[in-house]
Amino acid sequence: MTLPQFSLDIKRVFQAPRERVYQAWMRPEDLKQWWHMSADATTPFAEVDLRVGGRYRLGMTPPGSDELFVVTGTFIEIVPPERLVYTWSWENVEEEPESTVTVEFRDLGDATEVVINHGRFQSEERRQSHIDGWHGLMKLLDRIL
Amino acid sequence: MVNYHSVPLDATFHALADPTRRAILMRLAKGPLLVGELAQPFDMSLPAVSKHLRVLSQAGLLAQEKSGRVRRCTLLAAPMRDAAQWIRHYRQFWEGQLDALDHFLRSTGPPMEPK
Repeated sequence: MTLPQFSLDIKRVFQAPRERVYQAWMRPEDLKQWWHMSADATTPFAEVDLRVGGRYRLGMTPPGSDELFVVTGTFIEIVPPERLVYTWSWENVEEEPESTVTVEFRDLGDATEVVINHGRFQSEERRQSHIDGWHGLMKLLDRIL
Repeated sequence: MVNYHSVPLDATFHALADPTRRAILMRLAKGPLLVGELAQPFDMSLPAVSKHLRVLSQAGLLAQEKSGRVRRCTLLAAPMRDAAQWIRHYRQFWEGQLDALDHFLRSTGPPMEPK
């Protein structure tokens, strides 16, 4: 069973085409403008190496604070413009174990439904076997195409 | 941002991942039960049930109290509250992020062509 131990699902419909919502999700120029949630907060940096195995680092300074929170992780699956899967952990919060975020972008014509699943896998090995499986598949495709 | 009190949630998550263990906890939510009573509705051996109870105990979700020849199980809710808090925290976090993305897309996006 590779289901997360525990997860939450959130859905939202955006009045924008799927390509654009997908792009805004992980493009650094866009992230710097929206990731920090409110006008009195900032996203000082957004580093995104958007490829399977690549890492991302997003800084965030909450409203009325000069504290810096950095969320980071590795991309597990990238299917533009449909789906992103990546690990999630806070650099400065040691007690929180790594979790996994899956984001699906569903095409509704002029609008896009974003479905987020944020959850925890049963073990690091299981997540790793998932990643290894994916890499293996990519290599195989590379060979036969 | 991530300022909620964090306990080792891994054991809790592992314990809650199994449907039988969740069912056990659901039954205990109504009040303490003897192991025999607890095992009754499940189609499994007593040792199998005991194994589940051990996992729940290790996760701090269950207290087992021996009285004579029977054991009484009581639900301990604190770790579940922490798990619920994790979910609540991230739900709030993502709702905030999606609000921000919505605002960003509205403020910068090209106006949609009416069809």
